[in-house]
Amino acid sequence: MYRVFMNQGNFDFVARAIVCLADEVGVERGDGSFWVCYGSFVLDQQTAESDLDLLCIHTLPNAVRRIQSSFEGYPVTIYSLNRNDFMSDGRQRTFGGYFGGKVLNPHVMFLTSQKGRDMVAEVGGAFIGPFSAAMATKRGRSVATSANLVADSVLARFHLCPWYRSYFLRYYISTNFQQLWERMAEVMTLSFLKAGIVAQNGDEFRYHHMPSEEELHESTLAAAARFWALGSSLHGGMPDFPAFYMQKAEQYVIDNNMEDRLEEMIRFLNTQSSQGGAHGVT
Amino acid sequence: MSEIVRVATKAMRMMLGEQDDPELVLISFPGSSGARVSIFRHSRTNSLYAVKCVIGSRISLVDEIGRREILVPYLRNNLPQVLWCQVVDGFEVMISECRGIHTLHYLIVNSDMPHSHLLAVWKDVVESLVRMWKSSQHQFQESLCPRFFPTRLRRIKDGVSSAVVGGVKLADCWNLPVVVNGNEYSSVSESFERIARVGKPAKGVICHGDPQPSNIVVGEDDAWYCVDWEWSGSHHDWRMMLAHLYGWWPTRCSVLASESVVRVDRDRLVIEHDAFIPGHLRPYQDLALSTASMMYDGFPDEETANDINRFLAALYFGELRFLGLWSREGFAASVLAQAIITANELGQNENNPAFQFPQRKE
Repeated sequence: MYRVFMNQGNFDFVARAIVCLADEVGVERGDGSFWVCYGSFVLDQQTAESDLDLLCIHTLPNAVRRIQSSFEGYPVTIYSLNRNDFMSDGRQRTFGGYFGGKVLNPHVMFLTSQKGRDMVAEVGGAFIGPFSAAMATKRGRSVATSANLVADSVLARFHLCPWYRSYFLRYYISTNFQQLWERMAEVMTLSFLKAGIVAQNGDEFRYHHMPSEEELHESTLAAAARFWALGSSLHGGMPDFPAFYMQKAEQYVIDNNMEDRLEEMIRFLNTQSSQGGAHGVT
Repeated sequence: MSEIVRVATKAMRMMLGEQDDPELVLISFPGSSGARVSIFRHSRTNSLYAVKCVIGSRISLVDEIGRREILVPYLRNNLPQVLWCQVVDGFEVMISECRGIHTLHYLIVNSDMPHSHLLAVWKDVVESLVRMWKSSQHQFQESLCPRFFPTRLRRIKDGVSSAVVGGVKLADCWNLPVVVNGNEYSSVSESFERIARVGKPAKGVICHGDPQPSNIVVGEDDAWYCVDWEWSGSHHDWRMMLAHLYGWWPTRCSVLASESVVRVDRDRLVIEHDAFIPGHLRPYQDLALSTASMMYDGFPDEETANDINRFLAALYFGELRFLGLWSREGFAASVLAQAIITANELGQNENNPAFQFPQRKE
């Protein structure tokens, strides 16, 4: 999906890594498993201190796991989860979109089939779709462009997890954000179509279902509770995991004096969500 | 320092939810990552807490906690519980239970505890590590090693090339032969090439990643606790770990018999030094030595001993970067000399005991 943004060196590095890391998860080539790389390596934003972030989706009857490993001196974080668990994190939001959200970020898939690619697109779209529709409802907008859709989806993620803003900010401040945004619009539109969240009419899209206030409230609380419960559980049962995540996100903005850029980014997203037609950065 | 204490105290108050100041008992020396640990005592319950504060660390404390989990099946009773982990004023802060105030290192060097007790603790530590290594052996994959040697060696090399020892900038004499106490050895550059020839072990092991007495806290009844889990992982090279167990003593406990001299003379880097490990500490190092035979069911073959010495030489070179943290700058010439000698002799010289890993005697 975002292969064009990943340089060949990083692509080769990740390809080598997953061959070696397969044993850590217990998967083998050809067994239906595939890998999703997300995070800094996709956009060539990694530093010597960066983690390699991987998601391994497989058919093993194993519970969701977070595995910490290393590859060629880089720390590696692998989320290992069963295909059914991954699917259910889309429409049912079993884990509050913990994984559905990860595949909404720029990512590159490895060892995957078309079926796997479709699944990833559908899970992302199914997870965020109803919340995105709610964002459009708030604006009183009934039709959408691709740019509206992707802006809705990002704002919906902020609605579910306001601290995600500082992570999206990393994309926003990148030098190639315009191209990235255009690609995100294409990918998000495809995801919504695959998940049956929107209907297409030419360049226009219409959400199939606009949730009521009450529906939104309940599904927001359910998703947030599931997300943080899983997060704590996967981080060694750390009850402080939510606080740590939130503080770390806020600290990134403070440390880099990004308060103004953060506000600018939110204005940009609101504009993109409100105005029809514009696909590019205005 | 005062900033660390302020943040640690604030974190303690946040965790306890109390206004009364917990009593600060001790602040550790910084680790090589720059992390500081403050020990607090709760005023009412007398419970002790270890507060670790890091900023800009290579491994986030959340991930360090995750790495602790790797050790749990093997060292269940020797790992303190993590109680709290948050970000406070830009620092990542972790509070864990603290079953003892001092590290084994501190107690060996400073306390009036009999060495027989401390040796028993160290023996248990070493044997527990070897049990973990033996029961976790699997095919070694170098690329998955948390202390991936090619990258580590590159970092060490960068650090050494910017080091100044005895007023001599090592980058300026990188390719000069080195003369230590009258014996000529190959250059720093060539020594690194020799180290890089390290072979691969047949098996990888689960290990703490930095097993040494500064990372062992001693509690009541000689119980011990393993701390600082950031390098813990599943694919360690046990020979590197052994080199750390053995080589820690020369780097942190050797003493100087006389002041060292470093100079460049007739296109030679000349080092004169005289350092030794006090006799009462040798039994600790001998215990570390015994891990090799425990792993090998006998003394290692020549090539294994060579590789352990290559790791030892890398450790010595690497420690040059951190001597200042431990107020041991005066040992730099000696540590540099031992790095050069170990890389060149690979334990073949029996006149340099305790600094090199000995070769099997025929």
